Amino acid sequence: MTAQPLIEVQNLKVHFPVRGKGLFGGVSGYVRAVDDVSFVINRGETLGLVGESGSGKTTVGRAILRALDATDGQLTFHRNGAGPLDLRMLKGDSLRKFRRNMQLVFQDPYASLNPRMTVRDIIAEPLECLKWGTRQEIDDRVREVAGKCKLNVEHLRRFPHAFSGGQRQRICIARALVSGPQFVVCDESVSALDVSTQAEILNLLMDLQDEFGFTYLFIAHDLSVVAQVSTRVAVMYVGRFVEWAPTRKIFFNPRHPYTKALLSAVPVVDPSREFNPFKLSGEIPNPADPPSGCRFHTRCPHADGRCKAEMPDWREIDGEHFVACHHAERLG
Amino acid sequence: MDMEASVGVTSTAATEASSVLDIRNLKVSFRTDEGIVTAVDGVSFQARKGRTLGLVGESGSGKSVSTRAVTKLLPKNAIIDPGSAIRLDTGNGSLTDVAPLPANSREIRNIRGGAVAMIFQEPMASFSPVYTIGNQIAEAVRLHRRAALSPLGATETVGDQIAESLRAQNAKLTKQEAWEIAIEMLHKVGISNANLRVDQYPHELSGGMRQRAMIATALSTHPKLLIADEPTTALDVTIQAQILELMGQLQADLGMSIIFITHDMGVIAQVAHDVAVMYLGVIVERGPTRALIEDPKHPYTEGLLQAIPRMDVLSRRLTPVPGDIPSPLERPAGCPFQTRCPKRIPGRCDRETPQEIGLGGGRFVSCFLHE
Amino acid sequence: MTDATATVMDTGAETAPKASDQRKLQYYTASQWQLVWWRFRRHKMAMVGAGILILFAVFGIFADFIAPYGPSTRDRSYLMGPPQIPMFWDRNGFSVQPFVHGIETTRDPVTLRAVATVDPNERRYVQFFTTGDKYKLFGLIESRIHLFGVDKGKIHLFGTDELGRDLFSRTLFATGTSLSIGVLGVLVAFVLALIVGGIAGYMGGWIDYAIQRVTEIVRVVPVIPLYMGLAAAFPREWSNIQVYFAMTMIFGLVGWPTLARRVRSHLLAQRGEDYVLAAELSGASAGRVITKHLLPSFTSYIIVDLVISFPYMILSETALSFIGLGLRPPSVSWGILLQDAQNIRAIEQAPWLFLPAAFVVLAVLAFTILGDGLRDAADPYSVKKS
Repeated sequence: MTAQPLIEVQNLKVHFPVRGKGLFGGVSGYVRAVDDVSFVINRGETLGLVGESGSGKTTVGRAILRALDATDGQLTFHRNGAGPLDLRMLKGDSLRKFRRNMQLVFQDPYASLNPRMTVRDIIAEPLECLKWGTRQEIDDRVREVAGKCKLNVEHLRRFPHAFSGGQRQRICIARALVSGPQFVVCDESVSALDVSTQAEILNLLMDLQDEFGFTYLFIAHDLSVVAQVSTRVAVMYVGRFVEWAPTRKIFFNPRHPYTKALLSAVPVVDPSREFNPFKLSGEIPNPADPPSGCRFHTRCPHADGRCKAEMPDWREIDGEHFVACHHAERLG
Repeated sequence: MDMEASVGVTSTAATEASSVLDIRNLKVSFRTDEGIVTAVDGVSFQARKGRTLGLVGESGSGKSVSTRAVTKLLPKNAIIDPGSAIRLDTGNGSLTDVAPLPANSREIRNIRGGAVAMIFQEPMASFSPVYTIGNQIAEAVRLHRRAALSPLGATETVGDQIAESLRAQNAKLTKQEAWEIAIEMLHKVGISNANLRVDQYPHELSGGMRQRAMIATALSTHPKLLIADEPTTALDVTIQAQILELMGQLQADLGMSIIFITHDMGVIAQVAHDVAVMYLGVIVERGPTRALIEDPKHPYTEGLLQAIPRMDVLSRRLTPVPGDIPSPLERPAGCPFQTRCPKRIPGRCDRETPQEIGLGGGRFVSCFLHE
Repeated sequence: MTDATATVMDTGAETAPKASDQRKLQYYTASQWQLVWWRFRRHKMAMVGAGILILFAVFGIFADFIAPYGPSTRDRSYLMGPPQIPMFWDRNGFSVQPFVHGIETTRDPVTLRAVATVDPNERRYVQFFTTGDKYKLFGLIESRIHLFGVDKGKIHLFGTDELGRDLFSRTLFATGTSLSIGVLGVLVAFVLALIVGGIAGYMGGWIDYAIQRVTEIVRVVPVIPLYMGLAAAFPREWSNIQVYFAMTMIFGLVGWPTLARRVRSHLLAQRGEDYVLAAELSGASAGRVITKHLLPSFTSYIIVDLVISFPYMILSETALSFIGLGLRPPSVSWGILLQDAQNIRAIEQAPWLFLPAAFVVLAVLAFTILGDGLRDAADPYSVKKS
């Protein structure tokens, strides 16, 4: 089976203006939340996107979903049989109608459900916005999707306050799936959950992918979760990708020093293994004022003069393994 | 005093070190609109000098409540059962039961930030936004120096520099001295340019720096016991690694006991000497970390360990603990875990509450399977 | 307690419906307003406050029926008469039906003023649903039936003023007037606040900035001189109805900025919530987001704000009428009644003329307590998180 692209992102830039105070405060600079990122997500695959807070990973997801406007670049949605569609050209009604194809599962299952609506109304909302069918048809569809997400009919009458975090997240998933999207962004969707619930929700997401062939962009800071669900993994640092490869390669043969640092910093549940994180000094730089050259050079133990001066190319170091580091080969 | 210090040094590897905190049969309930909710139901554990106890459990398991009972930082509707004993080393080397003391008593106030320091997940919540970091640390230092005049709050030292400087003065420290201690503490927790940072306000620091500053504040009064309530949960892994390392170093330096509350078994595995696994207000299993993780005895511990995604095995399938955690309003009868337990003995687990059984090697489990 | 649950578990862990289940289900399916009500209900003081206000509202609305006499009806035989309290016995014995003593007017031989003296031998029995002055309830239903009265002569529960008008009746009518001015004033302020604050909060940017500054300018205008200036500007020939509406407009125009700021800040806070983004990503239009998500999210808070701003309106009315710049006789309002009580003679000889002040104090207190209780209950979801 040849991989067909579904989402294609080219040179995506999202810059937020930093304004001075008051009515006439001018733009004093830009936060380069996402700065020139390109990637492709194939149909039915999961791209895991990892990075520390402030790396811009959430912004990438929101830009594709058109929850915020990209500053520059191309976002292409390859429709089944209807050819590519430029997402950035969608406006007004056509954008609203197209939203059924791409959905978001949030991080906080408490904030993302309107506490004043019943579960039925929450799940039905995308359908009602689409004027998808009669009330009866919508009810049937809601019941079907709720069942897939392991919610029972009785639950639909209740309000969100009746549910635990894990159950709420199932409601969020049901809402995301009800309109039959092809692409779902999971933005830290399991990080607020307890371990056992997290495992259950991840399994549910995987089952739904197997059944309906969803394509996921799975944004997380927890590498062990990403390891389980992703086909490929992209590592992001201060608005740019530093490494992109199939999951196995990222986890067993990381090439970028930042990826290595991230991996070693995860405490593993194995007391016999020495916890000796690859020490990263300092903290993630401010994206409003990113470092020159390679953005990681301020914290990288291998940085030299070249890293400081020259931005490394985004290059394929190995089959389907991209990295942005001057010294990737040397460091092995 | 010196004797105790030497015991602490020689017995870091031994299982029996002197207890700083000994909690017996702690029971905490809350008076709510829905009735009495039992959050902690008969919990016993010890925190030992120079060692880290990991308290692990899902949200609502009572791990925070059981430690907050020590400093009485509980909501007003909380009731600590009179049968509970919280024996704490308040500074003079012997254990005093603080359970019956009222939350606003002088003794408890002296303990807070004195013998027992706490750090939290959200450092912003424990700093006042209107004072500089230095002001706040210095204030804590001066407050508890004065507290030392009362017998209960007297801080004893184990040869640490700061404590030495504290002990040198019998009276209240001057502002200048407290200020210097603040700078020294910031330096100690790895904040560069400590003499500049000391003048900054909490919001001017990044998340990791704030966490370091909070640790500095907590340790500035040289506590016997540090309660760390999910201190790294909100941090990125690279910063978490830095903080964990720092806490390890400080413990080695200062010899305090740490209770580390977290839901992350990985963190527990790496930092805790002993671990207690909590579920619905009870400790289902406790013991030395390594033995417990390698050979879990309680079905819940087993399930929890299996549910954790691993980085060395890419499986696409995880093994959740079946079912949902019951609401604390409807605690199941018998063993609290019986509603989700795959090894449940029908007719037994749903009727009787299992008692804690010693398995040897410092391990305890509350499960009928191990009788 | 554990024993009790154990037996419940034993009798049927899976099948038998438990009594508590029904209650739980009720909680799970409870809408926001039910949750608010359940929380509010536990606030005993606020319930008392609400009770008092409901009572006042009933007094005001049904004043024609409850009051035994009209606001201007005079009883020439009982001028400046003290309150008459219904009793069940006197020296002549016990009676099941409450009664008051009769009145006899005599002239003071020195001052020649008419003085009402009580005739302890005459009993006037209190009766219910008596026929009295004709009135039109709500201006529609014509009736002569009053809630209570006496069989002969008149009864004055709160006494009378120097013209012999029944203070109890006048207080009831005044309650209606004063409360209705409050209600209308708050409504005017609320509509303005919703529009102004809504635009500011939803549009944001420079529009928000400009509106904010205008709001601040209105807020810093000192209120009392403004009231006085505006009220003094009312043409003398305006009828009382015109003055009444002009006053509500003034209160509304002065009162909106505080409310508008609250509306704006609620909107801003809610707009950033995940569930609003979720609705937008579901394809909801701006109209749908506003009506289905944003408005319901802060109605409960706005109600609290409205309740809390009530006392200011009532006190403003009372103050204005008291200094003679608001409503004028023959209208009755709390302020006008207190105006009657503001001379030394009243304090000395007729302290009962201050009874309406108790109503004002009670109403303001009740509103404040009620607002307090509502504020605690307004966000039933706040505790759920954590």
